[in-house]
Amino acid sequence: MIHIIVTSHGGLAEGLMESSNMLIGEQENVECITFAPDMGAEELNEIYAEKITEVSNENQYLILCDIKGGTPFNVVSRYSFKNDNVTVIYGVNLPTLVTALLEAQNEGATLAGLTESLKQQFNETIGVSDI
Amino acid sequence: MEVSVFRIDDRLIHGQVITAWIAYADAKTIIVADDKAAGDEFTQSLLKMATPDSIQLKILKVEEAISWIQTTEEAGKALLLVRSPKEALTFIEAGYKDHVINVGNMNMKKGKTKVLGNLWVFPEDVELIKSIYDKGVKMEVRAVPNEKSQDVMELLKKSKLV
Repeated sequence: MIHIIVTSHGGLAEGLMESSNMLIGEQENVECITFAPDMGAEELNEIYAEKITEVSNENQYLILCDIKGGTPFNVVSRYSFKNDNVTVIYGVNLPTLVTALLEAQNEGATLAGLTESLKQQFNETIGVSDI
Repeated sequence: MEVSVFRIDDRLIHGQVITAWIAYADAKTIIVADDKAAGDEFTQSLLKMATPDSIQLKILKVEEAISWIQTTEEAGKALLLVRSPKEALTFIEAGYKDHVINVGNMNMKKGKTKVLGNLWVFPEDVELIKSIYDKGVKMEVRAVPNEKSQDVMELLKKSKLV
Protein backbone atom coordinates (compact mmCIF):
# COMPACT_ATOMS: atom_id res chain seq x y z
CA MET A 1 0.00 0.00 0.00
CA ILE A 2 1.14 3.52 -0.77
CA HIS A 3 0.22 6.09 1.87
CA ILE A 4 0.13 9.72 0.85
CA ILE A 5 0.90 12.56 3.24
CA VAL A 6 0.36 16.20 2.27
CA THR A 7 2.28 18.66 4.44
CA SER A 8 2.74 22.42 4.32
CA HIS A 9 3.39 25.71 6.08
CA GLY A 10 -0.05 26.85 7.26
CA GLY A 11 -3.31 25.77 5.70
CA LEU A 12 -2.21 24.86 2.16
CA ALA A 13 -2.20 21.10 2.79
CA GLU A 14 -5.71 21.09 4.25
CA GLY A 15 -6.93 23.43 1.53
CA LEU A 16 -5.53 21.16 -1.18
CA MET A 17 -7.31 18.20 0.37
CA GLU A 18 -10.56 20.12 0.41
CA SER A 19 -10.13 21.00 -3.27
CA SER A 20 -9.19 17.45 -4.13
CA ASN A 21 -12.33 16.18 -2.39
CA MET A 22 -14.38 18.39 -4.73
CA LEU A 23 -12.75 16.81 -7.76
CA ILE A 24 -12.46 13.13 -6.89
CA GLY A 25 -14.29 12.73 -3.59
CA GLU A 26 -12.79 11.75 -0.25
CA GLN A 27 -9.96 9.26 -0.38
CA GLU A 28 -8.72 6.94 2.32
CA ASN A 29 -5.03 6.70 1.56
CA VAL A 30 -4.16 10.27 2.51
CA GLU A 31 -3.36 12.37 5.57
CA CYS A 32 -2.63 16.05 6.09
CA ILE A 33 0.05 17.48 8.36
CA THR A 34 0.12 21.24 8.95
CA PHE A 35 3.20 23.09 10.17
CA ALA A 36 1.54 25.84 12.24
CA PRO A 37 3.16 29.23 12.96
CA ASP A 38 3.65 28.47 16.67
CA MET A 39 5.24 25.07 16.09
CA GLY A 40 8.89 24.12 16.30
CA ALA A 41 10.66 21.60 14.09
CA GLU A 42 10.76 19.06 16.93
CA GLU A 43 7.02 19.17 17.43
CA LEU A 44 6.46 18.79 13.69
CA ASN A 45 8.78 15.79 13.67
CA GLU A 46 6.77 14.14 16.45
CA ILE A 47 3.70 14.30 14.23
CA TYR A 48 5.57 12.82 11.26
CA ALA A 49 6.88 10.05 13.51
CA GLU A 50 3.31 9.16 14.49
CA LYS A 51 2.12 9.03 10.88
CA ILE A 52 5.08 7.47 9.08
CA THR A 53 5.23 4.05 10.68
CA GLU A 54 6.11 0.49 9.77
CA VAL A 55 7.79 1.49 6.54
CA SER A 56 8.45 -1.50 4.28
CA ASN A 57 8.12 -2.66 0.66
CA GLU A 58 4.46 -3.33 1.37
CA ASN A 59 3.92 -0.13 3.30
CA GLN A 60 5.32 2.80 1.32
CA TYR A 61 4.91 6.53 1.76
CA LEU A 62 4.71 9.38 -0.72
CA ILE A 63 5.14 12.75 0.99
CA LEU A 64 3.93 15.80 -0.92
CA CYS A 65 5.27 19.00 0.63
CA ASP A 66 5.02 22.65 -0.28
CA ILE A 67 8.49 24.08 -0.81
CA LYS A 68 12.04 22.80 -1.13
CA GLY A 69 14.20 23.91 1.78
CA GLY A 70 11.24 24.85 4.00
CA THR A 71 10.89 23.31 7.44
CA PRO A 72 8.29 20.62 6.51
CA PHE A 73 10.59 19.52 3.66
CA ASN A 74 13.72 19.63 5.83
CA VAL A 75 12.17 17.69 8.68
CA VAL A 76 10.36 15.06 6.62
CA SER A 77 13.37 14.43 4.36
CA ARG A 78 14.93 12.53 7.27
CA TYR A 79 12.42 9.77 6.49
CA SER A 80 13.32 9.46 2.81
CA PHE A 81 17.08 9.63 3.39
CA LYS A 82 18.50 6.29 2.18
CA ASN A 83 15.04 4.75 2.26
CA ASP A 84 13.49 3.67 -1.05
CA ASN A 85 10.12 3.17 0.58
CA VAL A 86 9.65 6.87 1.33
CA THR A 87 9.69 9.54 -1.39
CA VAL A 88 9.43 13.30 -0.88
CA ILE A 89 8.11 15.56 -3.65
CA TYR A 90 8.21 19.35 -3.16
CA GLY A 91 6.11 22.02 -4.86
CA VAL A 92 2.86 20.08 -4.51
CA ASN A 93 -0.10 21.37 -6.47
CA LEU A 94 -3.64 20.19 -7.00
CA PRO A 95 -3.16 18.21 -10.25
CA THR A 96 -0.16 16.41 -8.79
CA LEU A 97 -2.08 15.54 -5.63
CA VAL A 98 -5.11 14.27 -7.54
CA THR A 99 -3.00 12.10 -9.84
CA ALA A 100 -1.04 10.74 -6.89
CA LEU A 101 -4.20 9.84 -4.98
CA LEU A 102 -5.73 8.03 -7.93
CA GLU A 103 -2.65 6.24 -9.24
CA ALA A 104 -1.60 5.12 -5.76
CA GLN A 105 -4.77 3.04 -5.60
CA ASN A 106 -4.12 1.22 -8.88
CA GLU A 107 -3.60 -2.47 -8.46
CA GLY A 108 0.09 -3.31 -8.19
CA ALA A 109 1.12 0.35 -7.83
CA THR A 110 4.64 0.84 -6.49
CA LEU A 111 6.20 3.94 -5.03
CA ALA A 112 8.96 3.98 -7.67
CA GLY A 113 6.40 3.63 -10.49
CA LEU A 114 4.13 6.30 -9.05
CA THR A 115 7.03 8.71 -8.53
CA GLU A 116 8.19 8.24 -12.12
CA SER A 117 4.69 8.77 -13.47
CA LEU A 118 4.21 11.97 -11.43
CA LYS A 119 7.61 13.27 -12.53
CA GLN A 120 6.62 13.00 -16.18
CA GLN A 121 3.52 15.07 -15.54
CA PHE A 122 5.13 17.88 -13.54
CA ASN A 123 5.57 20.15 -16.55
CA GLU A 124 1.93 19.83 -17.52
CA THR A 125 0.64 20.91 -14.13
CA ILE A 126 1.80 24.52 -14.28
CA GLY A 127 2.07 26.83 -17.28
CA VAL A 128 0.81 29.88 -19.11
CA SER A 129 -2.53 29.46 -20.83
CA ASP A 130 -2.51 29.76 -24.64
CA ILE A 131 -6.01 31.16 -24.63
CA MET B 1 36.83 36.70 2.07
CA GLU B 2 34.51 39.34 3.46
CA VAL B 3 31.68 38.15 5.67
CA SER B 4 28.84 40.62 5.08
CA VAL B 5 26.23 38.97 7.32
CA PHE B 6 26.97 36.87 10.40
CA ARG B 7 23.80 35.06 11.50
CA ILE B 8 22.74 32.67 14.24
CA ASP B 9 19.96 30.41 13.01
CA ASP B 10 19.28 26.93 14.35
CA ARG B 11 17.52 26.08 11.07
CA LEU B 12 20.71 27.04 9.17
CA ILE B 13 19.66 27.42 5.50
CA HIS B 14 15.89 27.74 5.04
CA GLY B 15 13.23 29.98 3.48
CA GLN B 16 14.19 33.28 5.14
CA VAL B 17 17.86 32.83 4.26
CA ILE B 18 17.23 31.83 0.66
CA THR B 19 14.62 34.44 -0.15
CA ALA B 20 15.92 37.48 1.72
CA TRP B 21 19.35 37.28 3.31
CA ILE B 22 21.43 36.08 0.36
CA ALA B 23 20.37 39.16 -1.61
CA TYR B 24 20.75 41.51 1.37
CA ALA B 25 24.24 40.14 2.07
CA ASP B 26 25.12 40.33 -1.64
CA ALA B 27 26.61 36.90 -0.97
CA LYS B 28 28.24 34.59 -3.50
CA THR B 29 29.04 32.06 -0.81
CA ILE B 30 27.21 30.64 2.21
CA ILE B 31 29.48 29.33 4.94
CA VAL B 32 27.80 26.97 7.37
CA ALA B 33 30.17 26.71 10.33
CA ASP B 34 28.85 23.75 12.27
CA ASP B 35 30.65 20.71 13.66
CA LYS B 36 27.50 18.58 13.51
CA ALA B 37 26.62 19.46 9.90
CA ALA B 38 30.23 18.97 8.80
CA GLY B 39 30.05 15.37 10.04
CA ASP B 40 26.52 14.46 8.99
CA GLU B 41 25.75 13.27 5.48
CA PHE B 42 22.00 13.85 5.79
CA THR B 43 22.34 17.46 6.96
CA GLN B 44 24.83 18.11 4.15
CA SER B 45 22.39 16.75 1.54
CA LEU B 46 19.66 19.02 2.90
CA LEU B 47 21.85 22.10 2.96
CA LYS B 48 23.01 21.45 -0.62
CA MET B 49 19.44 20.98 -1.76
CA ALA B 50 18.35 24.23 -0.09
CA THR B 51 21.16 26.32 -1.61
CA PRO B 52 20.44 28.04 -4.95
CA ASP B 53 22.63 26.83 -7.82
CA SER B 54 24.26 30.24 -8.20
CA ILE B 55 25.60 30.22 -4.63
CA GLN B 56 28.71 28.39 -3.45
CA LEU B 57 28.15 26.40 -0.27
CA LYS B 58 30.88 25.60 2.26
CA ILE B 59 30.02 23.32 5.18
CA LEU B 60 32.92 23.33 7.61
CA LYS B 61 33.67 22.62 11.24
CA VAL B 62 33.82 25.85 13.23
CA GLU B 63 37.61 25.88 13.55
CA GLU B 64 38.01 25.00 9.85
CA ALA B 65 35.64 27.78 8.86
CA ILE B 66 37.60 30.34 10.85
CA SER B 67 40.83 29.47 9.10
CA TRP B 68 39.20 29.06 5.65
CA ILE B 69 37.73 32.57 5.76
CA GLN B 70 41.10 34.00 6.77
CA THR B 71 43.17 32.18 4.17
CA THR B 72 40.94 31.78 1.11
CA GLU B 73 41.80 33.84 -1.93
CA GLU B 74 38.26 33.70 -3.25
CA ALA B 75 36.67 37.05 -3.92
CA GLY B 76 33.12 38.13 -3.14
CA LYS B 77 31.05 38.35 -0.01
CA ALA B 78 29.85 35.57 2.23
CA LEU B 79 26.91 34.90 4.49
CA LEU B 80 28.14 33.14 7.64
CA LEU B 81 25.66 30.87 9.43
CA VAL B 82 26.07 29.26 12.83
CA ARG B 83 23.58 27.30 14.88
CA SER B 84 23.87 28.96 18.33
CA PRO B 85 25.69 31.59 20.41
CA LYS B 86 28.30 28.96 21.32
CA GLU B 87 29.71 28.85 17.79
CA ALA B 88 29.36 32.62 17.47
CA LEU B 89 31.51 33.12 20.57
CA THR B 90 34.22 30.90 19.08
CA PHE B 91 34.36 33.21 16.05
CA ILE B 92 34.51 36.29 18.27
CA GLU B 93 37.34 34.79 20.31
CA ALA B 94 39.18 34.24 17.04
CA GLY B 95 38.87 37.97 16.29
CA TYR B 96 35.55 38.33 14.44
CA LYS B 97 34.33 41.44 16.24
CA ASP B 98 33.23 43.74 13.44
CA HIS B 99 29.68 42.48 13.07
CA VAL B 100 26.43 42.99 14.84
CA ILE B 101 25.45 39.35 14.98
CA ASN B 102 22.06 38.74 13.46
CA VAL B 103 19.81 36.30 15.30
CA GLY B 104 17.23 34.71 13.03
CA ASN B 105 15.93 31.70 14.88
CA MET B 106 16.75 30.21 18.25
CA ASN B 107 13.66 28.07 18.46
CA MET B 108 11.63 26.48 21.20
CA LYS B 109 13.08 23.41 22.88
CA LYS B 110 12.37 21.79 26.21
CA GLY B 111 14.16 23.68 29.01
CA LYS B 112 14.27 27.00 27.15
CA THR B 113 12.67 30.28 28.22
CA LYS B 114 10.75 32.34 25.67
CA VAL B 115 12.00 35.84 24.92
CA LEU B 116 10.33 36.27 21.52
CA GLY B 117 8.55 33.83 19.20
CA ASN B 118 11.85 33.21 17.41
CA LEU B 119 14.14 33.68 20.42
CA TRP B 120 14.14 31.02 23.11
CA VAL B 121 17.14 30.62 25.42
CA PHE B 122 18.67 27.98 27.66
CA PRO B 123 20.32 29.36 30.83
CA GLU B 124 23.69 28.61 29.18
CA ASP B 125 22.67 30.69 26.14
CA VAL B 126 22.20 33.69 28.44
CA GLU B 127 25.75 33.22 29.78
CA LEU B 128 27.12 32.89 26.23
CA ILE B 129 25.29 36.04 25.12
CA LYS B 130 26.72 37.93 28.10
CA SER B 131 30.22 36.75 27.13
CA ILE B 132 29.64 37.95 23.55
CA TYR B 133 28.60 41.44 24.78
CA ASP B 134 31.58 41.43 27.21
CA LYS B 135 33.83 41.15 24.14
CA GLY B 136 32.26 44.29 22.73
CA VAL B 137 30.03 42.58 20.15
CA LYS B 138 26.30 43.24 19.88
CA MET B 139 23.50 40.98 18.72
CA GLU B 140 20.18 41.83 17.08
CA VAL B 141 17.04 39.81 16.49
CA ARG B 142 15.83 40.28 12.94
CA ALA B 143 14.29 37.33 11.13
CA VAL B 144 14.23 39.07 7.73
CA PRO B 145 16.18 42.17 6.61
CA ASN B 146 13.24 44.60 6.50
CA GLU B 147 12.08 43.74 10.01
CA LYS B 148 12.84 46.13 12.91
CA SER B 149 16.11 45.26 14.63
CA GLN B 150 15.87 44.47 18.37
CA ASP B 151 18.92 44.38 20.62
CA VAL B 152 19.28 40.95 22.25
CA MET B 153 20.66 42.25 25.57
CA GLU B 154 17.77 44.72 25.88
CA LEU B 155 15.31 41.89 25.23
CA LEU B 156 16.96 39.71 27.88
CA LYS B 157 16.76 42.61 30.35
CA LYS B 158 13.08 43.11 29.59
CA SER B 159 12.46 39.41 30.19
CA LYS B 160 14.47 39.72 33.45
CA LEU B 161 16.93 37.06 32.33
CA VAL B 162 19.95 39.26 33.05
